[in-house]
Parts: sequence; structure tokens; C-alpha cells
Amino acid sequence: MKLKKVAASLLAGTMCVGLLAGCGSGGDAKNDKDGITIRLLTRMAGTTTQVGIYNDILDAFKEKHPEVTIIDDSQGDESAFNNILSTDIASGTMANIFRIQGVANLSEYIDNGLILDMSSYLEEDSEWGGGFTEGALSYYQVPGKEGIYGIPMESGLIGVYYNKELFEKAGINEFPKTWTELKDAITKLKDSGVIPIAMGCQTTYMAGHLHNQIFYKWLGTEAAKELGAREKNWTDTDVVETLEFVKELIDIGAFDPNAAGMTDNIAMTQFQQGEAAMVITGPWNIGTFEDPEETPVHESIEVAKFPYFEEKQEFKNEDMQTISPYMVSGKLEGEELELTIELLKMLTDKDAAKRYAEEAAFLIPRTDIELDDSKVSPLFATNVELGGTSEGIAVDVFDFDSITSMQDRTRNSIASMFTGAEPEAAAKEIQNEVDSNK
Amino acid sequence: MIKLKSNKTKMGVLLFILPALAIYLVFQIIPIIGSVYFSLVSWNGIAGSAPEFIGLQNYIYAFKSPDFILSLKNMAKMVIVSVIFHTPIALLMAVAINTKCKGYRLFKALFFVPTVFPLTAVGLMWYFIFMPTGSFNALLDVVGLSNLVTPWLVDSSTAMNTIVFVNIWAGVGYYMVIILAGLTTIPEDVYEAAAIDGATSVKQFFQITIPMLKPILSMCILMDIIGSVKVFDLVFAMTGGGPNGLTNLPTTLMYNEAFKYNHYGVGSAIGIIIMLICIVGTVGSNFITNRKKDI
Repeated sequence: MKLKKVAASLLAGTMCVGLLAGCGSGGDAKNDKDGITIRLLTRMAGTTTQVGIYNDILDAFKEKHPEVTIIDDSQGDESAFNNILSTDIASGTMANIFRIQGVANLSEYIDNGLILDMSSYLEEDSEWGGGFTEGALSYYQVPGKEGIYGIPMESGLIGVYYNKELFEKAGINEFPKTWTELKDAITKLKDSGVIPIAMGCQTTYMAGHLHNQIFYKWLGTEAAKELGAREKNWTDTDVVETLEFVKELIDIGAFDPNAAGMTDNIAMTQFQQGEAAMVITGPWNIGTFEDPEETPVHESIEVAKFPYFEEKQEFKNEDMQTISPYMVSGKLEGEELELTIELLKMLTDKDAAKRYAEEAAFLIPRTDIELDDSKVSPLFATNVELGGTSEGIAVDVFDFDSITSMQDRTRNSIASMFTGAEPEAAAKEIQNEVDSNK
Repeated sequence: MIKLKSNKTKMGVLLFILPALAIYLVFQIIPIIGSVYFSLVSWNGIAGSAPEFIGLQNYIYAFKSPDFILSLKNMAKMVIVSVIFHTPIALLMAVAINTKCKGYRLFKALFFVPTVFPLTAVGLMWYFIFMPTGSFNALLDVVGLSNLVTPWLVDSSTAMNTIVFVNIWAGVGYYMVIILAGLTTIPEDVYEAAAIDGATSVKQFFQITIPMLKPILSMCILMDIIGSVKVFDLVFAMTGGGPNGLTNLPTTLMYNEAFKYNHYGVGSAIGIIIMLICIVGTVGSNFITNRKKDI
């Protein structure tokens, strides 16, 4: 009996010790006092070619610095990524290298010392720092702050990828350049029995990207900044007109009648299988579109800019582009900071950019990449060429808005038009979000 | 109540309680206190920036928000419909299986299977069934009921009802197993005596089974209320709260406010409101049960 009591007491004691030990081990990023740990939180996860190259670079760094531990927390899924990033920001334990999409909130993060100013590092190493395109670097010059707070790691035109064969079958020989031509093409494509534009509104970004394209062609990229600065309202007539154009496309049958309840994956599959004639997306899908296994109609796919409005010629080259950064934690110092910068350079130097471009059709915005034309895919080359003609560049309209819920608010309200909401109601709903946050 | 004789025994008992108590304190009580604090402040979610005390502003903001009011309505629908259907269906299934009819083991396993699956997987599976081009609409097409084809998770009149249906489907097996365990505690001789007195099976069910299962049924209803208030993963997987917030529950709204929009104050306030609803549900349900007992 006594033995049993002793054993039970020991067991309970062990559980307590185990629990306390478990509590103690969490939260410390360093493995031991001598070693340095570099944590990365990017969207480079999955099985795509660009992720393979990213992992190769991490492996090369590990080989060079075997004493350094690399923890890659990168997430392909946007929501999983945002959860980790929010937790990091709230706890102040930023990854060494991370990314924050959008620029409206950077000022607050900079004030709290979360992001490192990269300008001195860019100046110090002119071979690396001098190679980035000016436009991409200036995107990370935050108004009211001195310095550059992100290293651009991805860019490219978000355009219209289309199936040339389906266009030809519908009697359209050239991709529409203007809004009127686009509507005409949509009617012909619909009559030929295909879905004119692939759309999956359950993943609301697709509806948001469509509206971005219309917005920039109707009002220009500067108007998005005006909305963010509250110099413009969502209920202004010209902004409501941009929503009316979305509704017009819905009404003429540009999308699958079930688009409201479909995910982006289903919509993309419709395009890849040749059931849909167009899809609005970015260069990150070029690899998939050129893969014969994933895209049986790969030989027919071409890319073009979103058509412009005849009456708004001045915004013909105002384009939606993707610009994503790597950022460095502002809390780093000493050798850990030096090693982090070294890894960052390896991930974004001209050798990496060349590999990314030639093997994965993934563009790091650098001017010093010497591409081997025979290795670059035609779709990628066209995307780069079209992107080079952009006179105004912006990502999402809400990127310039400091209200964090605007991403969901704008996209949800735009997507609601696919279930019957009127443009005025959608505009009012978005403006209410702005007003209630005043 | 057991009286502990010696200090040694008390220490032994304390040692056993300690691990559970420590876990409870660290992962339940301290976060609740933290949530109450955060619900009374405005904080932008950035480490280093000072939270500003704003009193009940976050609660007022939540109750003024049409999204939150809609989510409360959705929650009420989820709780009421789940309580109406979960326990009665589970009771009928349990009674049927308890008759030990042919193949009852197979049915028991089949009915319980949905409970074993994570709700996220259940949600995804039903999403593929109910999506506009999903198998349910395809089935309606095949059997000539094309006029009933509906985008179930998109249409404002069917989206929330569809999620409530899936919640009932996913939970009924769980309550069935609990009731089944309760059924085995009813002595067989009570039924035999009733049969000798000429009671029919239906009469036995209403006069013996239900009264003797009352404590179990009350517990099922209580667990159902709390479980339905806390549903998150099902909505998250099936609709993500959409279209346009139509199927949001307070739980999904809390997640969005806190983790997507960095409104930790509003998110915490919604969390506290959910907790209060659970407490009111628990106390209310206990009160009704005890009052019936007194009668």
C-alpha cells in the first residue's frame, strides 16, 4: 500500500515537472547560446518550382553556415500565414525575414521598431542594392519616414490570361483592347458555349482583382491612394461607376452562373481545362499554365493587359501589378543581423533572380538579370514586356487603406454583387466600414 | 463528503490535483482574465504600443455592428434548431440500436463515424456536396428535380440552414452514444413489470425510458447548447462566414476581428459575450431541469 502511495506521488510529481518544463521550453527562438537561429515567415511554401529554388538557396546557406539553425515557418495558405504574422506582431517576436502585404500600416510597425530600414544595406552593397528597379524599391519608401522598409522579391503584371483557341472558335481573332471590344468578345464567347471569364467568388480575392483592374483603368492608380487618404469616398459617383462595370459584366453573362459559390481552385481548373476562355491572375500561375499535365490547353494560353476604356485613354497603362517584399526584423543586432542580411542577399541577388526567372517564370524586379532567351518561357517574357509598359502601378485598391478590415470589406461587398447586390449598396457598405472606423 | 484524516493524505491529494489545476489556470483562467482586460482597451495588436482604456466602447461597437447582430441571429438559429433535433433524433437512434436488432453494431458504428471526423473535414466534405456544381445538385438533376437546384451555400435563404443541417448530422452520433450508455443503466425488470401490466412499447418508451433518462437528456441538451454556441470550424471550412458575412457566427466574427483586422479589443469583447451566453445557457438549462424535478 505504502509503495503504491509513493509510486503515485512520484508519478504526480513527474507530471508537474513535465508540465513546468513544457511551459519553460516555449517561446525561446534560440537553440543554444552559441548557435544562431534564423526564422523565416514568407509565402514560399508548397511544391512549385519557385519554392524549390527558395529551398535550394536555404540549403546553400545552411551548407555555408552549418552552425546556424534555419526555421522556415513559411505558409502557402494566406489565412495560416496571416495568423502567424498577427501573433508575431502582437508578441513582438518577429521572424528574422518576413513579409507584410500592403504599405498603409507600415508606418505603425516602423514606429514600434518591427521593421529594419534597409537603405544603408542597399547603399553599402551596390552590386546587390543597385540592381533593383527604382519603382519597386520606392514602393517601400513609406510616406513620412526616411528609408526603405522592404526588399522587393516578386513583381509582375496581373493581367488577363486567355485561351487563344477558344477566342478563335468564337470568331475573335485578336484579344480585345478596349472595354467595348471586351463586352463584344464576352457575348461571342458565351454564344460559343464557353465560360467567358473564370471566376470563383467564394475565394473573394478573384472578384476583388477584377474590380482592381476596372478601377485602375477608369480612375487610375492615384485614385486608390486618394481613397486611402480619405480624399475620395467609395460612394463618389466615379467610384460607384467602377462597381457598375463589374455588375455590367455579371449581367451580360461574363461568368459562370455558379461563380458566387465557387472557389478559386474550381475557377482556375475551368480555365486550365479549356472550359473558360479568360482568367485574371498574376505571374505566379505561369508555371502551372505551361505545365501540360496541369493545363491540357497550355499551348493556347496567352497573356494580355486588361482592356482600357475608350474615354479614359490616359489610364490605358495604369496597371495592377503584384509587388511582394522580404522585410527584416528591426529587433536584430550583431552577428544574427549580419547573417540574416547575408541570407536575404542570397535570396534576392542577380543569380537568384536569373534562376527564378528562367526556371520558374518568377520575377524579382532587378535590372541586372541577364536572361537566356531560350530558357525563358514565352508567357513570362510577354508578362515582363507588358509590365514594362506600365505607367502607374498599384496592387489592391485597399492596399493604401489603413483600416485592416478593408481587404475583407471591399472584397466581400464586390463579391456580393454576384449574388444580386446593387453597386450602390456595395459602395455604401464599404463606405460604412470607413465611417464606422473614424 | 470525504474527510481527509492526515496532512500527508491532503498533500497526496493536492499533488494529484496540481497538474490539472495548473493547466486549468494557465490555459483557461488567465486567458479569460486577459480577454476581459483586452475587451476594455483599444489596442492595435502591435507589441510595444500601449493599450488605451476605453471602458465598454468595444461592447457598444459590437452591439451596434450589423454583422455582429446577424451573427447572434445565426447563433440563435444554430442553438435552437440543434437542440430541437439533436437529442430527439439521437434518442430514437439509441433506442432503436438498444433493441439489439440485426446488424445493430454496424449501425452504431455508422452513426458514430461523423463524430470521429474533425469538423473541418466534415465541413469540407459537405462543401463539396452542397457547392453549386456539387453532388447534391447533380443528384437533383439526375432524378428530374432540376427546379430545386440551388446554390445552397450562397443563397441567403438556404446558406445558414444548410450549415445548421450539417451541424446536426455531425453531432447526432455523439449524443446517441451518451444516451445509449444511459439506456443500459435502466434495469430490464422495470420493462418486464410494465409488460406484465400490459404496457405497450410506445407506452414503455414514454413512461419508463424518457423519465429514467431525464438526467442524461438534460446533460445532452446542455452540452448541445454550449457546443452550438462554440461552433467555429464547420462555418470556417464550409463558407468562411460568407457570402458577405451571411453565415458568420460570433466565433468566426471574433476570429476575424482579432486575427484578421487586429481589433483585439472588439475580438475580446465578442469572446466575453460568447462566454456570458454559454454561462446563461448553462445556468438557464440547469434551472429549468431542476424546476421540473421539483414539480
